[in-house]
Order: sequence, then structure tokens, then C-alpha cells
Amino acid sequence: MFLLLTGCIRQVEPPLRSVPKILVVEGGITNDSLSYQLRLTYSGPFRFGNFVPDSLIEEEAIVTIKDDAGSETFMTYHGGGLYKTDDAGFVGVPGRAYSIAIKLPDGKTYVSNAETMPAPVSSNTLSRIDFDFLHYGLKNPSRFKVYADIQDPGSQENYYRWVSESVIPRKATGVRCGFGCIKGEFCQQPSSDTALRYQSDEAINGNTIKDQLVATLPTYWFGRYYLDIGQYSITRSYYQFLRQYEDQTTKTGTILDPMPAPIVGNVFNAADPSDRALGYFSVSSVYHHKVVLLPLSLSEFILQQSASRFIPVGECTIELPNTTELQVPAGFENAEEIRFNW
Amino acid sequence: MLTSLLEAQTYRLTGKVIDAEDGLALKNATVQIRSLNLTAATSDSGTFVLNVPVGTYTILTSHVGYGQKGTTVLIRGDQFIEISARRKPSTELDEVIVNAQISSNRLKESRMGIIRINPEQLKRNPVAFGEPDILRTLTLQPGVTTVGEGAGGFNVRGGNADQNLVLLDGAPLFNTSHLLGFYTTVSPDVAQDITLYKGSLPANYGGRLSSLLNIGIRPGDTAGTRVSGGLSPVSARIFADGATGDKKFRFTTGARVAFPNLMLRLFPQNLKDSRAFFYDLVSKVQFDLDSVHSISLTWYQSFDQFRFDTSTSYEWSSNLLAATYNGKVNQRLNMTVTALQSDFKSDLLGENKNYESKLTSTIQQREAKLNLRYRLAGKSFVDAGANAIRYALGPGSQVPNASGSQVIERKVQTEQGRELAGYINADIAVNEKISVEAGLRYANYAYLGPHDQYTYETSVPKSRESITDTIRHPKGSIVSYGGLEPRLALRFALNSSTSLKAGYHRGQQFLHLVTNSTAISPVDFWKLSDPYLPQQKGDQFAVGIFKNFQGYDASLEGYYRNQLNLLDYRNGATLLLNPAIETALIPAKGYGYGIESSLGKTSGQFTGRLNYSYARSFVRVITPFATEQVNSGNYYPSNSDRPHTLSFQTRVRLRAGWAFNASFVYMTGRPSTFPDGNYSINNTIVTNYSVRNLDRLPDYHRLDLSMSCVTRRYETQKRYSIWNFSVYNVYARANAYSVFFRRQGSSINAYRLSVIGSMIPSVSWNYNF
Repeated sequence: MFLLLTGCIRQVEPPLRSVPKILVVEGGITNDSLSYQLRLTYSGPFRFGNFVPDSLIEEEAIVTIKDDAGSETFMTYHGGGLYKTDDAGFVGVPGRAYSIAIKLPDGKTYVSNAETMPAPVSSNTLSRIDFDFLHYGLKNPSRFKVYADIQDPGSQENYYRWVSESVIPRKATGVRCGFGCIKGEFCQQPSSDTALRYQSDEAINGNTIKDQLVATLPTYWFGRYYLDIGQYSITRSYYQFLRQYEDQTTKTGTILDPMPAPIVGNVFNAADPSDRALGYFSVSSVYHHKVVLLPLSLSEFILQQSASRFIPVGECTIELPNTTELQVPAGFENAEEIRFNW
Repeated sequence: MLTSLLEAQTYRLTGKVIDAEDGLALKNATVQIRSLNLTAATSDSGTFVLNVPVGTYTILTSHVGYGQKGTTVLIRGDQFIEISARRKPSTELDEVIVNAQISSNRLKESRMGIIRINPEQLKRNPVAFGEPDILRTLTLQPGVTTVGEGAGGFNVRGGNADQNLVLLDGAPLFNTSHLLGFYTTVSPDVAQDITLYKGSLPANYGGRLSSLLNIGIRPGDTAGTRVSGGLSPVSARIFADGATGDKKFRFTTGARVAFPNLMLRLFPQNLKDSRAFFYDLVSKVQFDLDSVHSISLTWYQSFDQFRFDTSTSYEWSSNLLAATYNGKVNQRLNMTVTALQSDFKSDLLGENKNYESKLTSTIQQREAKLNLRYRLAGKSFVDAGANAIRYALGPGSQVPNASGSQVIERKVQTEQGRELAGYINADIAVNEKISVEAGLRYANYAYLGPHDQYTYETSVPKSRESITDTIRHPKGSIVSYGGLEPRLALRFALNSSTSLKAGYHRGQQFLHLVTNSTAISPVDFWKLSDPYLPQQKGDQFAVGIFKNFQGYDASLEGYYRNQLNLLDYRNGATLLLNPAIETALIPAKGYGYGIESSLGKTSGQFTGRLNYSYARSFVRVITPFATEQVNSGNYYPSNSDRPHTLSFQTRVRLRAGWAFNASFVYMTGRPSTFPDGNYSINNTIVTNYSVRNLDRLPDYHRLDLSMSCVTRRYETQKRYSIWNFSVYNVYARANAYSVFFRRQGSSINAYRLSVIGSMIPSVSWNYNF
């Protein structure tokens, strides 16, 4: 009798209503002394996230970042909707408030609420590293998953986000360079992990955030993995934005889903605050925890199973994009090396 | 001459109508002396009073489900008579389950918008996986809807689910759903009467805007101990009732335990790994001090546990205790005194390693109420009374739930409130054609300290950043709200088979359910009106025409309602454990209107009812701040706005106790919010929902069929079974519970979730011995 029973989830094609396009703002400022970036696009009926049509890219905006001390800097356009700061002297300072102004070709000016840059939290101790083995034939490589403990300061509200950058070893078949000689077999490649990982200290204020997943690294071959864990201290408002963003992108349709609603950002039309842009201009500080991971017991047998399809034929630096010869990347000269088994 | 004087003098004929089989008092029985053109209806305790001159008369008594009985009585002075009424043979019991009102009474009652359910008949029509169920039966009636299959609570005439006052023997139930909405927390086995008032509450009741669902637990059977129960694929139920030899002490007790895990494994992927368990227990004892005074005690407990995945589980429980004294002060005056306590507790258990936690919210209502009923001549009576309520709420507290948990203790301030109300309600039969029920209720509510209250800048929306100060209120009243609540019901009989009715109702509600999901869920919590949250207020106007003709009844009702100070929520607001919950709330107002029609065939081999309603319900948020507006501040359809609802139920009596039941329901899909654009953030597509509730889910419709067999062959047969063979959702329609949008790779897709996507055959067995 019960074999007949099933509930179901089916893909459907609901109509998309046509509404005017809305400005989308994505970017922010930190206390890192580097070029800050902002991406300006528009909403539309497109269906694929990695591709925003040219017609929905804003190329002619005038963008200014200001602080509460009266300093400001302009951003210049670099194509693809991306604007960057060029002023190396304009660096975010914790405790100072920052906002953005975006003047569009149609005369409208969008501004963000001024937000104060939180102080960075410099506690970050790796607690464990897992190896997430994916058998060969799958689309994605196996991964290292890196966890950390963070001692939360009890004296203030803290909101965290973790974004990691890494340089990982890669392998190609290489090319013969004589008897017993193969060249171009190994190289290294930068990798970004932008998966959404964020946390509030609301429930644990003053205690330890334990076993927080802070990074994943694709695992193709043996060697040193240079990992830069960016531990961002973000504002409460940005934390709420990220939470809505996650709610929106992980709906399951059950009774516990919150009712659908626009994700409220912090950028709006200066002349009409009810005209809200989508996205967020974030003001965050960052603490970098740089480590070198050296896996010891990784077997070639396992790697051949999981990574063989990612080993191209030819020279490593030629066949794989953005790769370099094996070398210690800048900034990792004094980084702690962690040798580990799993 | 002496004879003439004797004949002119009238004497008081008092009496009590009881069930011949179990000795239970029959309320609302009609008592008539046709030769004197006198009619009375029995009170809750089954008693009646008639003033009659000296003479010999035949007293006719009648009651639904009972045969008409004539009793001859000689009147020479004040006299008391007890009349035993016999139930009709079992084959005549197969009425339709739900009477929009009992046909004969509904033409005579002033009030309309009433749905009465016959609990006995309910057992013969399973609507929830082989089980009879109160709320799921109610949602087949005009004006009563639910937001979806498996959604807790119900909506009456477009109102919110927290606007329904559900009373069990006079005590409020804060949770009405087991298993997230598949079952009602009260089994129909213990119910004696089930009545829903759709926005037309008598002045005796207040505190909710949309409806009153009154469930009375049956007292014990005085004819001897009786055991009944049932078994279905999901649960087992057993109930017993009886009385001592002198029939002064009666009891009812029972339990229901569910084992729904088997069913859950058959659900969609996101539910099939879930685990659930629930039970409910109920006991009632009644002690008759004498023929007109009695004391009863009702105890009820329910518990639910639901585990969605390996990291979170939910537990919620209700506890209820009510003591009632009922007695006659004199022949005309009846008094009822009730003291009760109702508790509801909800726990959310986080089980992630290092973050084990328990989040608890509670509500407790303690209440004392007094009702005096004074019977006037004929069928008229006046009710007057008062009640005092004390609320104690714990909106949320979180504690670590394991050693090593990094979770810290957090607690939102507890809340206290007091509600005092007095009322008078008169039901007057002016003459055979006109009757009026007019009531006035006054309720006063106070939010009590000690309590810390944040103050905010007034020029910007409330937020934690706009807090300007904290006021520490001492013990005592912080703010009070209140007002008069007039109620009016008029009836004008055009002729013996047709009545016109009109009604007006005003209500206030000081208690609010804070929820940001479409349906009631375990993480919702209750909140009292406070300085930032005035009471919800609502008015409802209704008119109707009711007609009976040759085994049929028909009705047409229309209503208009408006409501103020409803709750809405800021986008992205944090509700749980928010110490400044007012920053998450936005006031809203709403209105609704509709027509409800019903046609029933109430006698014969074939009985049935066809209902159709057209109803609309709209809300809009009220805020001076453009950034908080929803749909640019315009009205938009509420979550329970379902314009067209059609239902059809039928029952065909066959031979040898068999009957065929069919039930069909159709509803316009409820409002939903679909995206009106996409954008890219973090190289991920995100959907944008700029306007709320402008789209709709696909229409809902479903056909259920069942065959039932009652093995009772004669009226006094005590041991018998009721077998049900049912098929739920016969043509396997995958009705949409929701349409949601999810990223799949780099694209975004729409999915329709159907909680039940196929037909569900079931067998259940109900027994009596």
C-alpha cells in the first residue's frame, strides 16, 4: 500500500514578470592596502549567474568612496562592470566610517549608509584538516577542508566572514626532454574560495567559535599548499544582508522557509530613499592567517583515482591557466608550515 | 368560578431532558406544549422551565439524533419532570457529518456563521491517512481554509491563523496541530460537541478576531463503562468513559499515540529523513452534587517531537487544566464558574557539535470566569459575566545543551499581561418571526512590569542603532488598551421555512503570534501587546438568507470585515531571541469580503452538502518610512486569500451498515511571491522579489473516497466496530504546497513542492465495547 505514496518536488516554469532593471552594487573597502573593487550591474530576466549580459553592465558611472574625515577617492572603470581605486594612499582604517556615491549617466545618484569599519579579530588557530575524497569521474576534484578555532572577544559584537585565497600544486604529464628527462610536469596555480561562510557571536559571545570551516582547497597533487585565510570582521548590517542572501539561495519550500522578500542592501537613491539598489557596499577589516599545508600521507593511488582527469597532457604552465613554476608565493616567506596526516 | 380562577393561575413546570441510554443531559433539546403554543429549549444542563396553567398536557420533546417523544403530565402545582429521550435506531444516524447548522435550529437561531460537527459521524469519514480529524474536516467548509497540506492552523474568512480562539472545555489551546499540521491535537473520540463561530462570537467570548472553535469533552457514560478507540497506519487511540453506580461520578479518559515515521519515509527528500512522534492525553471527571449542581475537572496534555535532519529537532507541548462548577441558583438563573490554566512550550534543539543548544519559548494563560444565565419567558435568555486573565510569556531563552557547547545563555525578557472583561448578552425571541441576540463586551488589557523598554528616534525606522534610551518600568501597568465590543445578531423569519439574518461583531486581540513563515511552524512564538504593539481590532458585518425545503437546506451569507494593527515583518528581520522585537515588526491593516453558499440534503439514503464561497482578503503595511514599505504601501492579497472555494461531500447509505462517502474540494491557489528579476552577486545568481503576493500557486483540488461499515445492528448494541477503507487524493494530484527557486549549478530554477504527490489508500478500525 505504501509503495504508492510519494510527495514530490518538480521543476516548473513560472512566468517571470517584466519590471524595470535595478542597479546592483557589489564591492567594498577593507583595511588591506590594495585596490578596492566595485562591480556595477543591473537586474534582469537572465538565468545564468556567471554571465551578466552586456546590456546589464554599467560602464559609465562615476564612483567615489568617502570617509568620515573628509577624504575621498575615485574609482576607475576596468571593463566588465568593474571599478577599482587607483589611490594607494587611500586605505581603510578600523574605527573610521566609509560610504560610497555612484552617479549614473541618467543623473541619478546612489549612495550607501556610512558604516564604521570594525576592528579585526586576530585569533585564528587551525583545529583540523579533513580530506574530502571524490572519486575520479566526477566533475570536481577532491578537497582539503580546513577548520579553525576563533577566540571571540567578549567586549563587543562581532560578525565574521571567511574568504580564502591559496596557491596549490598542479601536475601535467610534462614533455620529454631527453632520455629519462621530463620537463614541465609540475607547477602551481592560485585558487579562490568564495563560498559563503559567515558567523555571528550572538550565541557564543566571549567564547570560542569551534571547528569553523574557513577554507576548502582543491586537491590535485602532492606538494605545498599556500593558504591565506581572510578572516573579515564585518558590520551587523552586512551580516544581516549575507543571512538574507543565504536564505534566498537555499530555499527548500518547506513551512520553515521565510516568506520571499527582496534582500535589503545599504545603497539607495539619494533623492528617493525608497528607490533601493540591490547588493551591498561592505566596510570590513581583515586579518590574514597565512599557513603552508604539507600533506604527508597523500597516496598517489588515491590522487590518481580522484585527480587523473585534471592532469592535462603537455607542460603544466602552458596547459593550465594562471600557473607559475613552483616557488614560494609573496607573503608566505615566514608562514608557518603545517605537516599533517588524515 | 373557582374552576376559572384555578385555570387562570399558572404553575412552574421544570424539567430535565436526558439520554435514555446513558443518562446524559441533552442541551438544546426542544420542549413544546402545542395546545398552549409554548416552546422552550433545554439549557447546558438539560433543564427547561415552562409556566403552565392547571390541566393535563402532552409535552413533546425533540433533539437531533433522537426520536420525538410525547409525555403526558397533569399540572396542579409547581412540578418537576424528567424526560428520557431515546436515540434513533443506528440506521437513522447517518446524517451528513457537518451541519452548517442543524437544519431545524438554524432557521430559529439569531446567529449565523456557525458550523457544527457531529463527532460520532466524523469517525465514519476519515480525512487524514485513515483517521477522522476535526480541523481537516472544518477546512472542507465554506470560509475555512488552510495555507496548504501539512500546514498547521487554519484560516477563517481570510484571517490569520492566530486569530482563532480554540477552546477545549473552555480553556484555550495555543497549538492545534500535531505533526506540523497533519492532525488536530484533539481527537474527535473525546469530543461531545464541536462548534465553529466564523467571526460572529457571542459576547461571552473575546480575545481573537476571526473565529471561535469550541470543543466540549464528553462527560462519562452513565449507562456503564464504555471503551472505544481506533487503529490506523499512523496512530492508535483508546478511550474509556463511564460512571459509578449512583451515576454521580462520571469520567472520560483516553490517549492517542502516533508512529508516523513510516509515513515520513515516503515523503519528498527534504522530509523523508525526518522523524516524528506525538501523543495526546485527556481526562475529564464530573461529580454531580445533586440534580442541578455539578463540578467537573478537565486535564489535557499533548507532546510533539519532530526532527528535520541530524542537526535540529523541535519539541512542543501543551498542558491544560480546567475546573468548572455548574449549578442552578434558582429556577431561572444558572451559574457557571471556571478556573483554568493553559500552558504551551516550544523547544528548538540545536545539535551541531560544539554548539548544542536549547531554545525555549513559553506561554501561560491563567483565567477565572463567571457566567450567569437568566432565562426569560419562552426561549429568551440573558447571559452576563466576567473573566480575568493573567498572561505570562517567555518569548525566548537559549541555553547550552551539552558540556563543551560554546553557546552562551541568552534570554529575552519575560512578558506579563492582564486582561479583564465583562459582558452582557441577551437572546430575545420577540415573536415567532423576529429574534435578536445583542451583546456588549468590554475588555481592558494592561501590559505589566517590571520590564525594560527601549525608546527610539522617531525620525528614522526603529532599529538597534536608533535606540535612544532604556526605560526601566517597575511592577504594575505599563500601558493599557481596551474598548467596547458590541455584538448583534438579528433574525427575521419570512415564513416557516425561510429566515433572513444580519449580524455585526467587533473584537480585540491582545495576543499575537510572531511568525515569518506562511504557515504556523514550531519556531513561532507568542507576543503580548506592549507600548509599541497595540491590540488588533476588527469589525465584521454579515447578512444571510436561510431556507429549508423538503429534506434540503440552503443558505447564502455575505460578509465584510476590516482589521487594524495586524503584524507584518521587516524584510530580513530577526525574530528569534530579538530583545528589541519591535524593530522587526511593522503594523498593517487589512480588509476582506465574501459570499458563502451552502446547499445540503439532510435526510434519506443519500445525504450531502455542496458549498461554494467567493472570498477576498487584503493587507497593507502602515509605515511613514519609504524603506519599510511593502508593495509601495498598497494593499496586496493576504497569504490566505483564496477567491474561489468549492467543496462537495456526500454519503450514500447502503445495506448491512455500509456507507459510501465522497468528498471533493477545489480552491484557488494561494498567493505566492515569484521573482521578477535576477541578478548576480558573488558570481552567483540571486532572485529578486520586489513585490509580494502578486502571483499564485496552481489551484488546489482533491477527491477522497471511502467506504465505511458500522457493525452496530440495534440501538443498545454496545460492542461494535466501524471499519473505514479510504483513498485520499484519488486521482493523485500533486497539489502545490509552495513554489520555490533554487540555484542549480550556475542557473536558477523553479520547483514546485507537493507534500502529498500521490493517492493514499488507508484502512482504519474504530471499536466500541
